[in-house]
Order: sequence, then structure tokens, then C-alpha cells
Amino acid sequence: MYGIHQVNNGNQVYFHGERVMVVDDSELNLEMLNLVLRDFGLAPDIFQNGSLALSHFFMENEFYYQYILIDLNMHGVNGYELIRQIRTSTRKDGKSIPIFVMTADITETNHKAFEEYNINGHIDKPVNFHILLQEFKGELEWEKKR
Amino acid sequence: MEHLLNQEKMGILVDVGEFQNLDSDSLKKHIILLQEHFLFNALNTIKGAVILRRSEALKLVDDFAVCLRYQFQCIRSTDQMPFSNECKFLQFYISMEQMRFPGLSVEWDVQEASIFVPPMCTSILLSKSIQECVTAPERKVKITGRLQNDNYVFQIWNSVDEEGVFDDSIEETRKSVALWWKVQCNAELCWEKCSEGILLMANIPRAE
Repeated sequence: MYGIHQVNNGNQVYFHGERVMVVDDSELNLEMLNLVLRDFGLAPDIFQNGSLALSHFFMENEFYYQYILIDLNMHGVNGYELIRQIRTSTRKDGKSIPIFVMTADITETNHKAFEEYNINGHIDKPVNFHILLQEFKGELEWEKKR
Repeated sequence: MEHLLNQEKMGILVDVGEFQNLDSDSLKKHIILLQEHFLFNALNTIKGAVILRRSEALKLVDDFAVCLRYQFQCIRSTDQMPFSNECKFLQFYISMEQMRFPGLSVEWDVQEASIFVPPMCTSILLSKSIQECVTAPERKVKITGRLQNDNYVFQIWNSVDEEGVFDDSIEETRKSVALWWKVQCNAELCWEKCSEGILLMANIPRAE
């Protein structure tokens, strides 16, 4: 049988309710990410477009979210614009919140942009959840050491 | 004016002279980018369908194989492709986009015809039209194809509203495709923004 238990095959819980803002314009992807991230112990809030996510981010208290996961190639407010507005905001967590991007684009130019926008990591599509969660976990451990 | 694609009703005309420096690499870049996005997004969608136990998952894998085969044909060949092959790809592309964007309604009314088109060009046009309308309150696309005298008239209409985007980069892509079609098969492509959306029209001459 296929399903979520094949993704998290050891039923390992890596996280303890850390909040993740997930932004993707594909409803199917959001549904999949919501299911998988919850199964790993995270608490995702899903948003189907950049402007909705942005207004929600600024509405919440600082440090409400521990991670942000964004699909780069979104229609309307795209991933880069969303990240730019978060990173240049005056909020205390604006510059430090770990931001990860998902992309189907493999061009080199993207990698330069990742540095420019201070993107913590990128996940190629199709999303490998183990890599994604290792990236999240790495940020968490790095944060603890700090 | 003779260099302009002269379609009286169309608001935007393509001046071929503007694109003297455009070489095949520019369009190839768009095609490769579309192929790349399509392949990895399709795999992601299939993965989602499997995880969420959607009944369409197995069919998606079969259809994906057909599309992958077509993509390899396109990569291998610089020739024009049969329009019927392009249509098969378009139909799979639509079903994949409908999985990603459940509210997307697509009306397909395309007559078969033994014409040849540059590979992936209709797909680029469709992908841009879908891209434009998925943020609209009503996500609608209509695709028609009809033989009219010596031409095959292929149209894509989408439901971008008055306030909807008319993205510069999308327009640039359309211009590249328009020029490429003109050079490759003497087809003329025009588009306009009207009150109900954006309409693209390609007049493709039938092969002799």
C-alpha cells in the first residue's frame, strides 16, 4: 500500500510542533506537504498565494514561525518577491527566519539568487522529504548551538 | 508595416524587425525551461497523487511516459513535429495542471489536422495562458483548432480579468514563439487582451 507511511517509514518524529509557513500555488502540493510535515511532528500553516502568506506573516507575532517553505515559481507574488519583503522588513525575525525554497528550475542563476536573498536551502522537485527534514533539522541544531 | 503580423483585430503586433538578433538559442532556452519545469513538476504531482492515494496516480505515470517520449523526440529533432503529437502532450499537460490547480476549467475543441508545428511551441503558449489565469477568480482556458481554407487556426483564450496581469516576460516569450513560428513554418501568431481575457490566435499554413 502506498501512502504517508512509506514517506516516514520509521514513524520517526523529528520535531515537536514547530510552526512552518508553507506557500505553494498548487493545492495538491499543499495537501501533500501538510500531510507529510504533520506526520513528522511539524505544525504547517498552508497558503495558496504569496500575498496571503505575506499578510499573515506580518499579522503574527515575531518568531511565531520557525521555518518558511516557499515554492519559487508561483503566479502573482512569486517566491523571490515574498522572500524579499520578509528579509527587508523591520521585524526582528525578518532576517533570521530560516527560509527554504522548492523549485523545478535547475539553472545556475537561481543559485546566485539564493545568496542574494539569503535563502537557507533549496529543495529540488519532486520534493524529497527526507532531505527537506534534514535541512530543517540542521537549522534547528545550528540554532541551538548558537 | 509589411513586417508586422497584420491582424486588424489584434491589439499587439509583432515587429519581426525588432527581433533581428533573436536566434534559435533564445527559443530553445524557453523550450528547455518548459521541459525542465514540466518534468519535475509532473513528478512532484505524481508523487503527491501517490501519497494522497488519488485514483489518478497510475494513469498519470502512463501518460507521463508518453510525454517523456515526446520530449526526447523534440530534443533529438530540430524538425517540426506532427500537430497530433503536440496535441497529446498538450492534453497531458492540461490534466497535470488540473491536478495542481483543481479549479482550472479547460475546454478542448481541437480538430485533427495533418499539419506540422515547431516542437513544444503550442505547449509554451498554453503554459503561459494557464499561468496568467490561475490567479484570476475564475480559472478558465478554452482551446480551439479549426481548418479554415489554407490555414489551420489555433486559438487559446484565458479568463484573465481587466485587472489581471499582462506580464512582460510572458509577452516576451510569446514574441519569441511568434517569430519562431514565422521563421519555421510561416505561421502568424497574434494576441490581444480583451474584456473577457487574453486571446491568442495562430494561423498555421497547411503543408503542401
